[in-house]
Amino acid sequence: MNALLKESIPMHIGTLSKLKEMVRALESGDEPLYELYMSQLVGMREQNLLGSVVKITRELHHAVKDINADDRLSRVASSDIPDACQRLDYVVKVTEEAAHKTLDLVDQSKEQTDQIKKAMSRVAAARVRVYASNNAKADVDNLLDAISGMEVSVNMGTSHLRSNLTELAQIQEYQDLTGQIIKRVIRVVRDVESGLIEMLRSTGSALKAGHLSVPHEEKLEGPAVPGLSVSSSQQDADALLAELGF
Amino acid sequence: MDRNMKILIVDDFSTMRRIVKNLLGDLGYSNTTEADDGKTAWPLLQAGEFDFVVTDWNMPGMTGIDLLKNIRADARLAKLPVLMVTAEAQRDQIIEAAKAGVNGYIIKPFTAVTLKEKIDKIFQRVAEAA
Repeated sequence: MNALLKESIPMHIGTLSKLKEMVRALESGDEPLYELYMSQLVGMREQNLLGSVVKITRELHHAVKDINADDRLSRVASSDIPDACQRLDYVVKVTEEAAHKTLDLVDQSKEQTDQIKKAMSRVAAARVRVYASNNAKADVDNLLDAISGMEVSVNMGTSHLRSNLTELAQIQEYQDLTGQIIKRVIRVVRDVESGLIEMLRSTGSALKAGHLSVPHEEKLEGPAVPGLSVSSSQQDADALLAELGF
Repeated sequence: MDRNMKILIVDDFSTMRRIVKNLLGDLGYSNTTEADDGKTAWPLLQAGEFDFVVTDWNMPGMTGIDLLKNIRADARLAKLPVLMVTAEAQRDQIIEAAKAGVNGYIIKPFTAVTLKEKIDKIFQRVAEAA
């Protein structure tokens, strides 16, 4: 028997005896007494309703107090999450900048290697002419010119390449900074998780896990994370496409 | 294969567009244009005689799969070769792309060798079909 039914039994007994008295008053033709019992019955009913409203209000008040009592969760919602979002935006910005800087340096380095290659080609062509003309002075001079040009190119090019490589290595420091920021955000996410679990426990967990699942707007999985998602490698994708006739 | 063919690179990340552009440049394809999602790619495709599209999947505005579907549904563009270069590595997604008529599927992160292989294969098939 549930608690609500148990509570309502004394009320039913009271109602029943009142009704019996009302029937007796009616049978004896005592109308004023009947009216009196009737108003008493209505009064009992109203009092019971009032009691229920008071009880619900009290429970609601406790529930609100419980939620407010979880300071950690309210702190997380009001400041930690906006803060985490800002930090993640910064991570996106820093990683994008680092990637562009890297690509800039790669472009510059490619130009340097092209210059060196061009200088080498000039030397090779000049040397061929020296052989063809059997060491004609003009061609030998031209070869010597090309060689000194190549020396300049190689010297400049390699020192440029060397400094580009140093800069490339330096740019990688973004990983340290962004790694720290991301770890901080992970802590916030964990706080939210444990706060929500505690809140569910304190509200008696009337909500089953199934009721909590919010429909995913995003059906795409995004980049595969080892250990988190079952995903295909390029080889798997190729095999699957081959199966499908690609 | 025409090294001067006009290629549209569609990706919401500027760095990835740049990487794809550089790799294509190394392979000898330097006639490239960039768009940051399907929505900006669509008018470019409508206006400009492109020979090949390299697109990401997950982008705001219009996704790569919707861009692919629009291309296949458009009489003038229907036969345009499309290479999907995406981080989406789920079996269902690969099947969905295949059904939508993708010509090649590359999973990020990828290498220059994979890009070359897929492009060569796509144009070998285009040549066979012609």
